[in-house]
Amino acid sequence: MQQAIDAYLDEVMAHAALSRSDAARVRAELSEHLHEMLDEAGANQLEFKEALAMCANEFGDAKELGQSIRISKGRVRTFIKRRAKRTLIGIGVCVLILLGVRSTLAEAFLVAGSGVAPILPTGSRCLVYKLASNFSAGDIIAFHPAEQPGIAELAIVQSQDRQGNLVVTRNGRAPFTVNRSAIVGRVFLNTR
Amino acid sequence: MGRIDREGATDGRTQFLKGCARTLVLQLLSEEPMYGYELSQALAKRSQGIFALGQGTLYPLLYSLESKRLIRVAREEEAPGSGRKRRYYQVTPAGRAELEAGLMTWRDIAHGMRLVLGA
Repeated sequence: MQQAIDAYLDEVMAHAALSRSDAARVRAELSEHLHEMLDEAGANQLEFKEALAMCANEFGDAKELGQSIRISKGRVRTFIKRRAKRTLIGIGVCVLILLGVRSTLAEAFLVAGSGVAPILPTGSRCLVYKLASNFSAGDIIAFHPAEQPGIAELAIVQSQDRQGNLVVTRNGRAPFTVNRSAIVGRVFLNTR
Repeated sequence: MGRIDREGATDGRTQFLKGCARTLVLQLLSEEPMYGYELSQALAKRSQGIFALGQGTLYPLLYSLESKRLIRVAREEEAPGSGRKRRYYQVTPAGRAELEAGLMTWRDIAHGMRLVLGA
């Protein structure tokens, strides 16, 4: 009897194509129903084919039942539930990759001041390459100013010494030195 | 020809019964929580066999009502002796409102039928 119920429900569930949790629940519920029906009919000793026929007689064609359950559970909802785990993992991986890129390779900045205008005017965005180590005169860099290390400012490179420290300028300021450790990177893309 | 007519009549009856099943299931579950097999037996018994729905209709209907939040699983209990789980469904407040609407529709239809048919 159990084999017949399993065979029938395998076909139903194949056509229902539910999420794993819904499938387990629906299968358990239908199985309980068929067991109770067969127990009540005293069908414990039935041959496989007879028990299978009783299942089909009670619930109808396995394919039709599976498709009806699929529709009643909601195709969109089922699709989302089936894909939820994969989608969440995908989003998580993307976030980790973005965080990794942001902390090691490149970071985007919004230009809030006019320190390097008109090359990069206020309101434009720029992408800073954080692995840059050699700079040329005229490069625009992002750096953490000593007085406010929590923020980043932009400046134009004038020269670089042997230790990697930079002499830079900003509008309205005399040339000053940026320590190598305070350099974020070189601007390599902008939306000006 | 007669065969086609009879099949057509059977299809019409099946569709009509299916249409009624939603209201009947809500009614039974509004009286007390029941699990699937119990519900199918109660429906057949109380309707004297007229609404002995194919169970292939019952479970999709239950899942549809559940996904529309008209019924919900009230509790799960193990079946005595077997250890298999039974899921008891009950009507939600939205389901009660749906039931009331269904009953009103049914009364209107029954009244109209009686008026026309003179029964």
